Amino acid sequence: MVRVRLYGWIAEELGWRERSLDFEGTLGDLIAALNADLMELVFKGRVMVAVNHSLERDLGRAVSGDDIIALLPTFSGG
Amino acid sequence: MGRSGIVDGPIDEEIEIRAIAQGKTEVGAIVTFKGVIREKSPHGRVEKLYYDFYPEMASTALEEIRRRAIEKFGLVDATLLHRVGEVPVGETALLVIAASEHREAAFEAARWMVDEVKRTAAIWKKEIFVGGGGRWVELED
Repeated sequence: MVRVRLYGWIAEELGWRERSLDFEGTLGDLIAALNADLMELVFKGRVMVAVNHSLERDLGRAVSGDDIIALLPTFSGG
Repeated sequence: MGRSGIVDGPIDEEIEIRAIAQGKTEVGAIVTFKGVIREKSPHGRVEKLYYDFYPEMASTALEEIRRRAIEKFGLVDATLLHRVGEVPVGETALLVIAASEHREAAFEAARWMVDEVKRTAAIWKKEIFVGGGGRWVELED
């Protein structure tokens, strides 16, 4: 099962924080399946994607069973 | 001994300053930066900030920033702590301490670490306004 985590305003907008999904496909397919609007925000740079705790820009990357996918707003700490 | 990390309660800078300087006779300058929650915002009167964070990525980024600062500026030691969860107005959310032989390196390193936290640490803040409501802060704000 692929684990998907959401942070910041993305978690608020979508109304959940973490889910396990039975999914096979690319990172882009996964994001589009979660919410079509998110892809647009990824392209605009307002949403970043991490795979297994590292930022990932290749949306064509295959997502497999134990991967942890996170959707991240642009950072605003400090 | 300096350290980095995510903390979920108040930060005591005096303890951290003592820890970083203890036994290090080569230290000639200690610069501290405290990021403090302010009440004033263009969007309303702030009661507190709420910090969300990605535990694995945020902790790794803070330690990487600390390590790189020591190397880049030749520091004797450094501390970098970021508080998460709810932080009321007037309290410290970010503590940066740079300890060096001379002041220039400590000043430059402290500023650099603050900028790097904002740029590379997976942490997000939301302004919670007096009377209710809130707003996630974007980087360009």
